[in-house]
Amino acid sequence: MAGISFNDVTCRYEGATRASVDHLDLEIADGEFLVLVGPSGCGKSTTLRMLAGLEEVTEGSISIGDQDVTHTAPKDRDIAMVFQNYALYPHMSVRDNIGFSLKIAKYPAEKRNRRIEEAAKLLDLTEYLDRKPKALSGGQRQRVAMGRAIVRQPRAFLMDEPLSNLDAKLRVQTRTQISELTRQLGVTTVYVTHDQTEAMTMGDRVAVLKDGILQQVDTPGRLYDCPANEFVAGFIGSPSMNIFHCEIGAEGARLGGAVVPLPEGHRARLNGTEASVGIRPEDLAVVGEGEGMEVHVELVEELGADAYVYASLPKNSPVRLQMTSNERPAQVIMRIEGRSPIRRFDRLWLAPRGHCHFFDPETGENLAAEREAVTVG
Amino acid sequence: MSTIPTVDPATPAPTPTPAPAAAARPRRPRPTPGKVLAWVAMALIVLVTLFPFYWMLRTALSTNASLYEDPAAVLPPEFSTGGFARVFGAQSQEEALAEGGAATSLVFWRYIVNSLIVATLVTVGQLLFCAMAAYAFARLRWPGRDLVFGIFLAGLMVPTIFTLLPNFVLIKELGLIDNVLGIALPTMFMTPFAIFFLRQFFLNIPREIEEAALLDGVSRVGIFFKVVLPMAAAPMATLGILTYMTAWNDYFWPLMVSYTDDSRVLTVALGVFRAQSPQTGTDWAGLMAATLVAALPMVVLFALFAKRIVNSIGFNGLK
Repeated sequence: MAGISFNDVTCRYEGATRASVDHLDLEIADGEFLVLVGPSGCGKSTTLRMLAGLEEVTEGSISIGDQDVTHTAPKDRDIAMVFQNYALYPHMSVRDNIGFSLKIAKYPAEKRNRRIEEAAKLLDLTEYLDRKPKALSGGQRQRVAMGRAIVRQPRAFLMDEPLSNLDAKLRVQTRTQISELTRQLGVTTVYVTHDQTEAMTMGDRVAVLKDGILQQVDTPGRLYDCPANEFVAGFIGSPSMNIFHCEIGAEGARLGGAVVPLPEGHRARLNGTEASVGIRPEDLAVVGEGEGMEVHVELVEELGADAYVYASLPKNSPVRLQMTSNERPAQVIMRIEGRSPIRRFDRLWLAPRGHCHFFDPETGENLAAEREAVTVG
Repeated sequence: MSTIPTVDPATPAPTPTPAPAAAARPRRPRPTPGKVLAWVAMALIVLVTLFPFYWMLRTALSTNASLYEDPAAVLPPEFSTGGFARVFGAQSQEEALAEGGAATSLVFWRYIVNSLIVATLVTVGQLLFCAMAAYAFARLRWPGRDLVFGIFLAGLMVPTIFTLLPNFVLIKELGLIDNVLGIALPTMFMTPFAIFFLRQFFLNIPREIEEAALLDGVSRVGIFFKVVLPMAAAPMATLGILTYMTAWNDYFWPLMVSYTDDSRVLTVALGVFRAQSPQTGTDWAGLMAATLVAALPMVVLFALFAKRIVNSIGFNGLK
């Protein structure tokens, strides 16, 4: 087992206009479970593949423990990887799949079999050892891929979206199993996913990447409560944070009739008279007419205990919403209690009740020095 | 565990109504004119394909004299196994001549061995070298790869007859005329088709499997032999069977380069029966018996693996 460090690592593919991973600095502690998360094409898989030795590092260096592995062959890095499509050898039985690396390393048959059986027992695969991968279900194949990784007792596990081929229910189940297993084994794990729920539930720390640039690396709780910028704020949390662009007055940010006081430190970092205010769906509340922002309800999504209200701002609203990436007009999202009387086409007034985050409208950076939220109400 | 159905006495039991007889049987779809036409066409093709085999058998089981008397008879005009006896050298020269057979004797087993050697050399060589070349075209990155592959594909379009003379000169220069190696050599290393066929398969193997092997500590060469080749067992088997059949059936090239029984393969040796001498005409019964015997291994091979061949080619074509 060992810690991992990326020192100013860049990966640029031939002919590409921008680097896939741009000057990445990241320290992963020994035994830590770190999740790399971000949208498609953000460089998370490339980062993992560089660590595995499957992609060339253009600049910078990578170390595992005390060893600089930047130019070390994959087989000499003492790591194990679980691939998205599991990459099982279809012509080999489960036993041979799990024990292949040990066979290549010329382990004596007895020791090899003992390790295979230990791994199979741990993963509940004992009865499938003589089957071929094609005779296994998706979940079982995923466990074989895990078995192949743990049997080697490597210094680090690398996992590239290992749950994305499973159905929703199995994914939740396997998520817990993987977390438990890696903690039990105490092996440093780097886990890539595009699913922020997976990232939040599994990682000791989560690194958020966008366009090859590391946005923030922190514990799941801090990522949620203290996002470094608008991107992290919008990416972490489901449904995502509402980001409003509004005027800054003498007393603070004006969200229609509601005012969010702007701390002096924030104001000092702000250029101009506008700011972005981030409010999570659970931090909005319905207020009396004229006491907040006016919205028109477009959809009420009942989830049982909770419900989400999706609403639009009227054309003459002094507040603007940040456009979402999927080109639909952005909507204000608010969490309310289930079985609420709010209906489609209702007119409501909303105001923040809880945490508000201030971002620079140009750079998107959090204006708070410690990224802490401003509490309202 | 079985459960006994309970009947509530208050509710009257439903009286079974006799179902019409037609409903009990699954109804056959009415044959459409298109389907009838397709079946007729298929039957015709099967007939056209199988008839030569039947005619070979009927001729092989007749005496030469009776064939001249009644050449159009559907059944053997005069039954005889003499043709087969001559093929396996079980008839004396006098007996052969008496039955209208060739005066020259046939060293059948020698030709079979030669054919086996040539077909095996060509098949093993082609499978190994084509697989390696196809893998290089599919996976390795090297300058000019796609251009070279294009040239290879263009090679598919060159008729074999064009390459006969250059190949002949080359084999002659190498001193391999009248040698089984000389027969095998031109097709032993590779054919564009085999490379194209295997490359398509290798392209479909997920790259991650090879990367997983790399992380498992296997060398590049090891990945090819321990992971990629075993995964390609099905297309390799298909290609092997097709190559073996082609090499076994090849006639023109072996005819050009082999002069004596040392290197003569079965297909060429069959010509012995066509030879006419002052005493006899063509030994049709012997020729057909020999052709049948020569074709038999390939027919068996094809019958055993036909499904696999079709599946594998279909699989590659669709992907």
